[in-house]
Amino acid sequence: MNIPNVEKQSMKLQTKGHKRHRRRFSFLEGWLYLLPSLFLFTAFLFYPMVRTVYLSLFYTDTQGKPMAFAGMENFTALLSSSSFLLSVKSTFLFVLYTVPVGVLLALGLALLANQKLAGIGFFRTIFSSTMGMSVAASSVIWMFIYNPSIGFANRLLTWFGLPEMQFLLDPSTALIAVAVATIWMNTGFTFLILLGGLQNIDSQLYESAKIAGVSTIYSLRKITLPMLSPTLFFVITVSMINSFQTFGQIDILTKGGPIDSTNVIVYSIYKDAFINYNIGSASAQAVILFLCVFLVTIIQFKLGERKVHYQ
Amino acid sequence: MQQLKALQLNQIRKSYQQGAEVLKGIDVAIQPGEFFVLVGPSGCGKSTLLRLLAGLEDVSSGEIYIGNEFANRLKPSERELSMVFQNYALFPHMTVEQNIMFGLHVKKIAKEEQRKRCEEAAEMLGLIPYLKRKPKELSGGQRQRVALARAIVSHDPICLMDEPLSNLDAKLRAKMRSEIRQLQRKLGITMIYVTHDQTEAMTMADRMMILNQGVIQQIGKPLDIYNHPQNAFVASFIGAPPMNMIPANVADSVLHITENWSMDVDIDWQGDVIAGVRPEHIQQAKSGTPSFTAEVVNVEMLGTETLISFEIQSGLQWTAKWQGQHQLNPGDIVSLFIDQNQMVFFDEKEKVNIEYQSLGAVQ
Amino acid sequence: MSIGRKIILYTLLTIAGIIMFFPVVYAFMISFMQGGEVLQGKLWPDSFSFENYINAFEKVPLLKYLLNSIIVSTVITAGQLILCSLAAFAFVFTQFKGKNLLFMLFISTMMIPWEATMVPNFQTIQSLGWLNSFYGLTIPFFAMAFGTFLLRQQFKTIPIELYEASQVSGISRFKFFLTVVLPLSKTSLITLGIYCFLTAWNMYLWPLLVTNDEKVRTVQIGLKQMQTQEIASEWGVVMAGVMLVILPTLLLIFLGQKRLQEGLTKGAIK
Ligand SMILES: Nc1ncnc2c1ncn2[C@@H]1O[C@H](COP(=O)(O)OP(=O)(O)OP(=O)(O)O)[C@@H](O)[C@H]1O
Ligand SMILES: [Mg+2]
Repeated sequence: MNIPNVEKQSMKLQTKGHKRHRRRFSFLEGWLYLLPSLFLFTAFLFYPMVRTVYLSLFYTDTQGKPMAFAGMENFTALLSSSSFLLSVKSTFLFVLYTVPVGVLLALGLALLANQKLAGIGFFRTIFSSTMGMSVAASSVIWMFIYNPSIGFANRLLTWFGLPEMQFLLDPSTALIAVAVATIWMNTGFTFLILLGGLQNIDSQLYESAKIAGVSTIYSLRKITLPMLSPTLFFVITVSMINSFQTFGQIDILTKGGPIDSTNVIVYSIYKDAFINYNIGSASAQAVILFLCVFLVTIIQFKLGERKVHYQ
Repeated sequence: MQQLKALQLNQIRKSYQQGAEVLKGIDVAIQPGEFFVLVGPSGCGKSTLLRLLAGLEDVSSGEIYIGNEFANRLKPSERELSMVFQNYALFPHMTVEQNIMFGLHVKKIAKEEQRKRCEEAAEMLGLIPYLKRKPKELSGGQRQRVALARAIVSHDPICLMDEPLSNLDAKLRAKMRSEIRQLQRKLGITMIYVTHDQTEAMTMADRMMILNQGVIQQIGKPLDIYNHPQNAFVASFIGAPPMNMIPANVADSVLHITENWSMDVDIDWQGDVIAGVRPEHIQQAKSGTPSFTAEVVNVEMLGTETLISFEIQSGLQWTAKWQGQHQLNPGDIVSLFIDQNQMVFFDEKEKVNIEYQSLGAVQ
Repeated sequence: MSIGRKIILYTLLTIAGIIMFFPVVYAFMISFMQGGEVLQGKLWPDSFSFENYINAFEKVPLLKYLLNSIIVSTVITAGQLILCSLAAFAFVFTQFKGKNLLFMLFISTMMIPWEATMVPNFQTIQSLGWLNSFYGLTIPFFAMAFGTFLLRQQFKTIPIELYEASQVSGISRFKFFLTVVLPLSKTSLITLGIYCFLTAWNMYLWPLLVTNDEKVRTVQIGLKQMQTQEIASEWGVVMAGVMLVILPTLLLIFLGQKRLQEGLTKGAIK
């Protein structure tokens, strides 16, 4: 019937040469948008990371110039140094003190603040307020709270009839004291993310649970936690990584003391690099820090793949 | 308005990186000023073809000519065409006016002229009261009109539309159908219109092309296609309810349909066929005419017409469409009559209308 | 909800709120106390006079530090927003070879703790002559994987048809980015902006390393300086400084809490 009448001959070929290049330009364009980020990542992240690894293999002068190849010397020296081992122990203890308690606390607050009540916005703002508190400011406040003679912490203890304590000056309590302050500082962010996660859960799930007549605890366990698991997973990872990188509160509250009991790894790197000018050793510690964070990320990722229930 | 433009596709093929060929050699010439409808089932490649025309995707092979220009390598904006998307693609942060005028400045059109055109288009589509609103403050039909207005103001000679009415309810759809058609006539644009709705295709098209699995099934005027479907696929795709079909056998000008139903036919064919008949061509038998009987299984009364389903063979139902209202009940036995001239036959293997085959068979 | 349940919830909320906010209120009260009152361990100042605040401005160049912090935070925020949105745009709206590889590269940046790179970074800044300069304080932070992911999530919600419609109209890709993508992503950009500003404002270790004079020193370092100088007696002045430092960011949280919560969750989880 209507067989297409192909009139090729009548068509004039008018190809414009320059238009052939649009594909290639598009290819370049993508890179162009990414270039600034890539450049800065290279200059201030990838290069210094490689450089750190490199420096960790050398003896360095006080300026950080590599003097002689050391091989694994910096690392073996660290592993046999009791102060470094103490620093590693403090770091891990610190992570242990802050992460589980911090996440649980924030989770509790988020569950509380996820209720539909009048004025709930006010409480949400209060709970997330520490996100706006800088490490320096928070540390100064806690420094005062922990002040043995005039701080609030000891007044609370005496009020309960307990003996006064030297929170930051006693090696057995200093790390815990810093951990408590840190948990408080981080609650805001963790809370905010968890609350966001809770609010993303489809309310129809709860409604159907209500119709089924299950208990609050049951729907918490069977709906809320599984649905929240991606968020929880994210929050735990971030908290752990942050915890490994703690610096400011240590610098202000304890300066790593007393007797190195709060000398966590980043503080130790800082002291070696910028106070003792032992760049080689500092770099070796930085490599170890990198490996720890890397490992945590990988483990979390692997675990997360298996356990986490993604919506 | 610019001069009308034709479109020509030669052996267009398209495959995406991963997977099979989506379009398998499309040849078609679209006349200037024509309302050309592309119709086919979901996934047959209609949108893909449209996007190739627009230049949003590159062809794998074949040639596209727009006007007289070889267009394969032209950018979308250099093809001088406008496009209306299924979800309208309105910019949510811009007012209706800004949406309509979007992109005009690229064409180096003066500000006053832009405003004038916008006014014109808004006038034509009844959008004047809404010019300052944002898209989300409009109803579906109004959004649709904004999308149309945006296509009009560019004064491009070719307009592409991808299922522009599928988000509207039935009534509005019918209204917009005729509005779009009138607009196209008034402006004299070459329109290429994609739909999966055969009613839309039938009612709007000057010519239409039926596509299935990336292969052209038939190109032609709606009525020609309706009356002379190229193959069984076209026959069942065009027309609602679809054409009734049944495997049968022709021997010496007698068509054997079922054990106790055969009729004389005037065709030059021997062997197995698929016989087809449109629902409106199954008539109630008058006394004296050759007839067959069947049991009614379902009746749908639509007011002006009645759809009656009955069982022809076990497991095979046909539908008849009768004018007026007919009081029938499931279980009733009716006798029916079919005029042999209104039957269509497809060969058993290729499912091609034998009308077309005998043309070729003459040799 | 039953009345009993409501009472329990409000009680819990109030207790939690008091505990969470106590340190801030405590610091606020102390910022109005005289030296003697502080030593007595009072919770409520005798009078609300701004003497400590005036003192704070006089003892250290707090105003200068605040200004420096505002400059640094604003520049970092702007830089991050620009670089992140450009990168996110490339990931969503352009096709090119190596895109997936680059994306992996961006992800991998999250595994490198910034503290592990601080020694060479310090050396780089030193050799560029950027110690004690705003360049050294800001530029290294412009690129940010998290922000790129967050914006990428947002950009992905923009229907591709909008881009195609722009292509048909002949709008260039960059123009599309400026006139469509950015305005449509205003909310996400503001959220990310708040987050960036908070983070930059609160930065501690890096400013400590690369500033050693008042010219560019930020307020966080100023606070540390104050605390070490004043520790003996003038806690009221130190707390006045603390209040001044947290005021801008606390205000930002009060205004943007809801937005931040919605926006950050979007970026964090897929
Ligand atoms: N970007 C793509 N990558 C890979 N395959 C694609 C892509 N776009 C479409 N396809 C495939 O090409 C085929 C045709 O798609 P197309 O969108 O053209 O169908 P359609 O006829 O428009 O269908 P519908 O009526 O549902 O819109 C489908 O099988 C689809 O899966
Ligand atoms: Mg389609």
